Amino acid sequence: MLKITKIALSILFSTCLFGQSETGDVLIKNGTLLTITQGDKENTDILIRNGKIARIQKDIQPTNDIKVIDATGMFVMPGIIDAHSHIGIDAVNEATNPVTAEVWVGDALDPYDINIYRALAGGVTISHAMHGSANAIGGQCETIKHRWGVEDPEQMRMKDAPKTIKFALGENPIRVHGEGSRIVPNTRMGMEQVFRNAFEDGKKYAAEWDQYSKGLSKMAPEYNIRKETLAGILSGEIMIHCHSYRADEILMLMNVLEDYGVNKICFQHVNEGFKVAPELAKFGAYASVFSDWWAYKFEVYYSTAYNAAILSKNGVVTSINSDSRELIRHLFHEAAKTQKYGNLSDNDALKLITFNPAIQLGIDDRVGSLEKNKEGDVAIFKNHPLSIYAIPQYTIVDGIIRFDINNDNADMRIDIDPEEIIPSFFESSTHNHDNCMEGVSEFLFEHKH
Amino acid sequence: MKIKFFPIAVFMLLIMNKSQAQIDYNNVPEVTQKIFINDANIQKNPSTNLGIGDILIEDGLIKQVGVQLTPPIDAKIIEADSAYAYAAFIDAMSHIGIPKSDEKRKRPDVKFKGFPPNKVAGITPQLKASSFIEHDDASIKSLRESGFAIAHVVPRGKMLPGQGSVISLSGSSSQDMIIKDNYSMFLQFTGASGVYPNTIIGVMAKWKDLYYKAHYHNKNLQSYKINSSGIKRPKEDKVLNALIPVTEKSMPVFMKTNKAKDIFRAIALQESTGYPLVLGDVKQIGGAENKLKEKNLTVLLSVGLPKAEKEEKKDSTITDESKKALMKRKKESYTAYLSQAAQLEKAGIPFAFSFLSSKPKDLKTNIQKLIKHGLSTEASLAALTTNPAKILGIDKIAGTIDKGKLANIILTDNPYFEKKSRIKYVFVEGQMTEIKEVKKKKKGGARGKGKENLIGKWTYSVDVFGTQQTGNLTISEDGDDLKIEFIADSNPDEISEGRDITYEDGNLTYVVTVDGGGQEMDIEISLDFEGDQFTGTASMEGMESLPMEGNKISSPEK
Repeated sequence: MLKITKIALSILFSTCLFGQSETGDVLIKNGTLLTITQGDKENTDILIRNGKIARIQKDIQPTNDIKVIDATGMFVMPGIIDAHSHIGIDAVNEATNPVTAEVWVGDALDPYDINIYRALAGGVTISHAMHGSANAIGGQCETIKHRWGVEDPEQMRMKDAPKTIKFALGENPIRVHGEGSRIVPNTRMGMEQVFRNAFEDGKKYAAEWDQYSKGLSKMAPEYNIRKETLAGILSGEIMIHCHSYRADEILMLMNVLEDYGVNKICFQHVNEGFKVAPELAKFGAYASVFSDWWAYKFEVYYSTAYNAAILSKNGVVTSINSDSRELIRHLFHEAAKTQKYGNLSDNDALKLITFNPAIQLGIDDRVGSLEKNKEGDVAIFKNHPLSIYAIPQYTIVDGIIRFDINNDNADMRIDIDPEEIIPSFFESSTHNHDNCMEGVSEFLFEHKH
Repeated sequence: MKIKFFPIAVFMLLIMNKSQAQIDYNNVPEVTQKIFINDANIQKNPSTNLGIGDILIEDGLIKQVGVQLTPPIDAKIIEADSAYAYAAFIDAMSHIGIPKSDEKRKRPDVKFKGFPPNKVAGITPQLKASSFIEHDDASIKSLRESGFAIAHVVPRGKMLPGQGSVISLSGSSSQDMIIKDNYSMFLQFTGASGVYPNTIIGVMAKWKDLYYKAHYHNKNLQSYKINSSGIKRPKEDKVLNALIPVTEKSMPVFMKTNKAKDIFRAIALQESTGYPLVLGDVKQIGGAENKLKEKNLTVLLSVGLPKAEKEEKKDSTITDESKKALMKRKKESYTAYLSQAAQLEKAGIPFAFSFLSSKPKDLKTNIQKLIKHGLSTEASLAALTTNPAKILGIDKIAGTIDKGKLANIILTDNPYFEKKSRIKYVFVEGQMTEIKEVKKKKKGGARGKGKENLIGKWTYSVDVFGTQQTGNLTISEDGDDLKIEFIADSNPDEISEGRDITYEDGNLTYVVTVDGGGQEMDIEISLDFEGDQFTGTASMEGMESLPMEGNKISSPEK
């Protein structure tokens, strides 16, 4: 008995020290709660204990030590989730091969990226840091929590969030590899073949290792981290998030996946999703779209601002994403556009940036709505988040206030270059391309815009 | 007949005399192999000072250390006159003795960018540093004269350039110098230009791939040894074979980890497999300190420090409050960088110094800055002697002035860490080098005609396939060397610095490293100056050269 207790204690102790990130306690009083899954609740309190939502009810009495936020007249919603971004990572595209399934942006997380803090200032608590779209099968992505202030990249990860990988269709991989290096894929036909070849590799690899692990072959097959990852996609361990625009290619990829028994996918951008919404719904595919942004390259001309509404009303789990360190700061505005273009209800519009992206990232049992036992990720707004006057006041991650509009310092950077030139702030405000190709244009030694 | 050959004999004699005259007598082994250092103030190790005493060196080893020893009759006596004796320093990681490759960079002849040959990809773990070391390379002499006797040399290159060797900084061939060959594996987060693995995420994935490939390759080799009948013979592979000692945890991996982020990444890579890891060339520790302590890891600090803001730039004229606040944070950051060594000492994390990207000649001034920020002289000395000896596994033979150890000793006229101190003698395995006081040369040394003309501010413009990329560059004098800083108009908040600068008769060449979205790229610049104009090229590996031109904006005020 003593032995068991000792082991239990040591496990407990070790996870406290290394395994888990910091959590906090906070009591938010008298706000209008937009729970997303359980309706709106006026003048209600929400108590977060040890990073989890402990209680949601009226008149919770604060204990002595707890931090209290008076949210009277304010709107309290689950932390916003961005299913497509590239913030908080130091490399986006390993653009040297059409298939680079083995690379993982989670290897190069950047806890010092100020855009994480700026995203918090837009109420965003979680983002899906993705590999770019230079390759047909790009790298694995990482779901990060915006715990601004931590310096250990391990603490940025949303622990146990499902693994995801970036696929890409259309012009980007064709431009980089077909036109750039004169190899397959140089056409949309070639794209399909790249996926089929890769899946065949993964299948064969898995079979070889299966033989070996059963002791049927004496020699270990050659280890190959790329094929190992491809096998992981086929086994369902890694979920696909695919950069896509055109309807024909979207259908193509669903056909390929059906052939290989892969039944989970989230299409990203998916500008022509409205054309194949019933087919997407039937497959069970998810869609993560821009609100009203297109025409930045040829394959993105046939688009509509009604895309999110059409997809939603056809039963496709849909989210609105940023793919941009600037858009990520006002995803609530992006969601609101679906009310003008498609008449979505307040709750359905907010779902596009909370519960639905949580489903798409496989974390809806932990975040995405205000419910007891869910993680304490909360955004508090002055004015309704779908109003043009909405201003985020506090953003809370795991019960810790990571953004406070009134009390944060003007300069929230963590890592300051001792040789920097002052003033150091300079950012181009032009924005007329998707960021999936970050790093690639430099790679090709071309201008970015 | 004899007479007939006489002129040849005389000629031969002349040649021999001439070649003998070129020998540096400082480095000739003493005839008796015995040296007696009389009356030195002996710092036996970082924490023990013997006071005035004597050291007897014999056959390259320390034979005796003590007070009022009697010199053997056949020993060469060095009168130390109370000079300070320290164990000579140990460089924990550098490229010393390996000349920079002067091969012209060409577009790598690669059919598929995704599958380049290992050499192009920067994956050559089978190569040994010792095979690149040139024993008479000027950098070895320069390091020795800075007080060093031993260096851990790693090859130059990209991701996996090869294995490190621990060498003695004396010897007449690179083979003579080797103390430990095949000692370490050197790994960097440096991608290959234009081919896989190009980015840091490519490099990290590739390392995992190679590691497990080597692991299973080894397993197959082992089981084939036991039972080879009816089993397909595993093929030899020199890259994987070279990595087997790492997978067996018998070879340490030395990494270049400049920034805190790199430290975390290096640890994350190592965590699941557990090979011995040394974090080298560390410039910023930041929030990684706790992790270092928790993992009990060894750190090699870079001797290079950030440059301080010039005094006159300070507050006086600045009224803008937000700018003041920014400058304050910058100053705090500078102080934090310089306090890192002291913090490591306080936290009980042992560290040594490495010279991958800094010059030995900056050693003392920079250590003085660290001391000013709280590092003790004891810890400073340990970082140069006992700690690197322990890290490199040579503490039985080096790092202190003790009987039986290699006679690696320096004598300085004042305590080493004082500003006015000067190294007078360096002994490497008993071989003595006397260091003459160098009179300071006048500034603006003659490194090519017309160098003065370059000094000043210039505009530049590069023609990138029809698009002009513009900016300006400032050329200034830095001692006898030139310093080149440039700012691109597209990114005015970043100053880049040129390196590997050469100047000869109007032609200036240098290399700049630019960050292209997570991947570092070297660009070679070659400019021909004439009056207030220059023309030239910017070239990058795998790309055609781009034309470049510029005009002078201003010269410095005299």
